[in-house]
Amino acid sequence: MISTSLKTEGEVLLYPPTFFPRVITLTNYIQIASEASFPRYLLNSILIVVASTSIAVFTSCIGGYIFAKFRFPGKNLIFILILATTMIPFQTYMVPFYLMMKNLQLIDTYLGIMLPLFVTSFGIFFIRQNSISIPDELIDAARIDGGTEWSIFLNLILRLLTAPISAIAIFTFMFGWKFFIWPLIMTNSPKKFVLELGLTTLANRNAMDYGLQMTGAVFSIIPILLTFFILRKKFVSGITMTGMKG
Amino acid sequence: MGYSNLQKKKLRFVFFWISIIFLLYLFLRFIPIISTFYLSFFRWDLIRPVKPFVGFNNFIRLLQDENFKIAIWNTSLFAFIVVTFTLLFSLLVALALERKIAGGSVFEIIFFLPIVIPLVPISLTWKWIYDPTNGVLNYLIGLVDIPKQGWLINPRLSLGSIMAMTIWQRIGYNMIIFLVGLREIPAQFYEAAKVDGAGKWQTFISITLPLLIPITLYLTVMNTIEAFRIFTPVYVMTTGAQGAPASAVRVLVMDIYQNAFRYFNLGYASAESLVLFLIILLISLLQFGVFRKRGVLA
Repeated sequence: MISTSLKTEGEVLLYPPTFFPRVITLTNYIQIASEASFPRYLLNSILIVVASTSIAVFTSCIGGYIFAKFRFPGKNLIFILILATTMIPFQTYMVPFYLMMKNLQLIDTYLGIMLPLFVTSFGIFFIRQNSISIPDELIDAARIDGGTEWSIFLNLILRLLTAPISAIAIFTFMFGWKFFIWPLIMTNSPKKFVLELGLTTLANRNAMDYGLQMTGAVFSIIPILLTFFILRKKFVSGITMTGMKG
Repeated sequence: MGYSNLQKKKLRFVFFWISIIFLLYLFLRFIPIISTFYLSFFRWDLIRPVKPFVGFNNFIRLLQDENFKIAIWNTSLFAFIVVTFTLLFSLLVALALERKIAGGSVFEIIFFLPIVIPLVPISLTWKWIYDPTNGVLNYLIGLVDIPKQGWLINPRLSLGSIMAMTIWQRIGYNMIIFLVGLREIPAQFYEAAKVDGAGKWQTFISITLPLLIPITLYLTVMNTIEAFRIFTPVYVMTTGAQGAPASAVRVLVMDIYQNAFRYFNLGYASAESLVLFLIILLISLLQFGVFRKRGVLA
């Protein structure tokens, strides 16, 4: 894929195909970068995924912690309802969800694209499992020291949960980056395209130009590959830890 | 005094955040899920102002809909073949890797990349590999004198081509989970088998395989559900020139997508979504049933 992206348009169509480019050219990259839209798609993707991941990690932490360490009426019922939704894939309720977004005039907005990613039942469940082992004495001691519930959560609990938090962050980040069908339905204007969407449009418009397509593909995976290589150990443990859905 | 004050503070904290989470769930999950049921009883056309209640009419129409039947058949076939071969290959790779490499970083990268890279670039790359005139695959089979094939264009090959890509993409993840399972088998079991003079094959059949059953079950269910939700590769590979013919690779989610967002029959698409929901529910219940049975036996 990377090899093809570096080929000239003529060489891509050569038969038999060459494994390595004979002449290395960056034309495709220049075209992608200068097509103004691609950097824009990248920015959109980053914005949407980073914002929704942060919110999902937060809701998972606060929800998971409360379900693990507090008692309140209706707790079990709410928890079971939340867990039950993990068995219902998004595709089964995307149609009515689209109608709701339409009524709220959220079609073609960043908020509308991000919304389904704001909560993750798996995240709440996972943080709950990891919070149970936090000793109650530790939390009570912090209360006696005069900490408010909020400050205990921020300063004590979050710090104790770093490993599961990074696992959940990786999980939701990758899920958000791969999320395709919802942005596809929700976005009308190319200005709001995420990378995956921009890539399919590029591919449809230049169906025979595999060099350009591969360049777009390479370009679109650079951010996720960079993140992967920098955080490789965390990714590997995160994926095995969460038994993640690929 | 101080105690009840603390209790009040606790309750206020819990009430505030749980309400927020509950409202998010209500809005983002519960209401849409319930609406799927509701909508499926209406003739809900996005363009028409009148949306009459039609009872089970949508479901009756589904039963007569050729496209829907094709989609159900294709998706089931897809799920069956993809799950079978993914599990088979990933178990073989896991067994081969288990002894030799204890998680070398090169292998880590090779097997994790298909998990990390999104499906759109993966599908585009495979579309190019499958290209009838310039594709790598046709070049490779040309080396052994097999004539060129229209991997995606030929309706008899296109679904199989997408299956092959999906199997390739999913092996990494499944292999890793199998590896975790293999490493959890206590070494004493193998030593005992050795003492008893069991051969390699015997050890595999009577120790490794039975102990891998829970993980295999889990992966079967996960992969089946995942397979029933397939959309992105089909979407990418059918759109644009050089793509697969839509009817040959019509799958359930693709059909829902087209009914809802191309023909704007939202009620009809909801009824179809409900069928998908029931299929997935059935698979999940099956899992619970099997697990409970095993629990009783064990």
